[in-house]
Amino acid sequence: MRKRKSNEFLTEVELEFMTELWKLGEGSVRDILARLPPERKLAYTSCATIMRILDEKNFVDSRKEGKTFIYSPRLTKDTYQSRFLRNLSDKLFDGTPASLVARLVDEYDLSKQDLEEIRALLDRRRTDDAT
Amino acid sequence: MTLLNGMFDVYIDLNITLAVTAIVWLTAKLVLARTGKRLAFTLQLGLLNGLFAIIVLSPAIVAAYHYMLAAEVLPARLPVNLADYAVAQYLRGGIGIPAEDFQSLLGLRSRMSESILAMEPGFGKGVALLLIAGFTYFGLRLAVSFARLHRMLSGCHLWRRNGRLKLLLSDRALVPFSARGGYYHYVVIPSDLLAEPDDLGLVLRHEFQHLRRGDVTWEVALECLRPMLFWNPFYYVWKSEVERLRELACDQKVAEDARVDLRSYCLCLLRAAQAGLKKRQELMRHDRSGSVASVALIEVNDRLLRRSPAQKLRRRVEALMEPNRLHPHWGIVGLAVLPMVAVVFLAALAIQKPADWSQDRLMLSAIVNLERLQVINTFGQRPLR
Repeated sequence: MRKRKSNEFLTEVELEFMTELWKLGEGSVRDILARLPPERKLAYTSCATIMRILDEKNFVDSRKEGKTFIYSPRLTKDTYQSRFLRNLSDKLFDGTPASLVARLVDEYDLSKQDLEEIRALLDRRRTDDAT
Repeated sequence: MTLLNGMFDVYIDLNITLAVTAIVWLTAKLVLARTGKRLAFTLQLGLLNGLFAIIVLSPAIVAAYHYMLAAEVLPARLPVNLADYAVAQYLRGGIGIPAEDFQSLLGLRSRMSESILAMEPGFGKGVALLLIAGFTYFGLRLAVSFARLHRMLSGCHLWRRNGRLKLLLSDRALVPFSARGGYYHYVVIPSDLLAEPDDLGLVLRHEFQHLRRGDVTWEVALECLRPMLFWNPFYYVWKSEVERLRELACDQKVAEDARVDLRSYCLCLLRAAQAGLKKRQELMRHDRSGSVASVALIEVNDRLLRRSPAQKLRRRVEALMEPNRLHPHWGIVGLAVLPMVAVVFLAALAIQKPADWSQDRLMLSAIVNLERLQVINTFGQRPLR
């Protein structure tokens, strides 16, 4: 069995591959390659290497079907989003999620609907905490 | 002479030889620049590495010379010792200072060495403590750098293996770099580069060139000497020259390949620098790879008293755009290098402590005693010293 490397986060290219795999549910290297924009001109071997790294980093599971490896995500997109945001909050915003949200609200041109959704989320969270 | 005294003498000689060789190198560089001759970078780097090997081997060469003198293979009266030469000049009237002062000047190095080794209060103790602190600090720093490099390499993903070469992929490497262990050679590539097949090919060419030329081994050797030579400014001059020429020589070699488009290569360097700087901002300081004992495609970390990454990149691109540099025949190079090597050898021999007493030294001692007697006879009192 290959040695598992512990790394909690994805690089840009790995994230691109994982995004496609999350959409696919499961698939082979060729399936993922087919979904990438044609201008990427990625070699099959490079894609296979990236998938192998994802396997070593515990982001995907692999099983062999004939001569092909079929990959499926080990964690959901939501789980990874939470992990990434927590890390961002800890490292860049000194562990204060409020600063992260404040920056988000300041920097992004949020529509009235977006703001309403955020307000609704906060209200729901407050109600849950109260009960 | 105790073993410690002998080792300290070798150490001091090594530092002086390095200084002399660096001055010889910088002079040769200045002469070439003045005459408008632009040697190929690969040739310059070869010369620099060759001279460095001579510096490191100089104690052994000097020991071999003395052994041959003792075995009477060489004539015994070869005047290559600076102190002996100075005494001979003094006796011929070429140096106009009192004999006692001259003798004191000759013994200055011995007295300073004794003072440092005996840790005499004041100068001796101060220098000894500074040396011990420097050895310890730079030695520990070297050990930490090797440990950090080892940790970085073990955190990488193995991509390919061919004999003693391992290609590794890293999430944390700022830029591609080459390194080596006791047996294996490593080329570490940031894993995002897999998605850039054109750049990947150029980067691999560059890094393989470093391995072929043995640049990583020279880098490790230079870094291992840092704890010993930390106080010598010529060490830093030398290292900076090696680092500059290493990348320029490697670029030149890659650019010579007919399959490599120069513009694409320059853009590849630019993209690598951009990606490295971006990643440098993203990663925490403690996450960065150790730059010691490895050879990076392009340096993106700012270093004290060094050119900025942007300046270095500009210099490399400008060098790539220059028309062909001179690559003279090896015979001509050999003839030009011979005087440089001779100067280094002579310097290494000339700075040695003179062996025992010579007739000239006895004569100098007699003059010192006569001067003292003269003082006593003239003033009817004992000399002050």
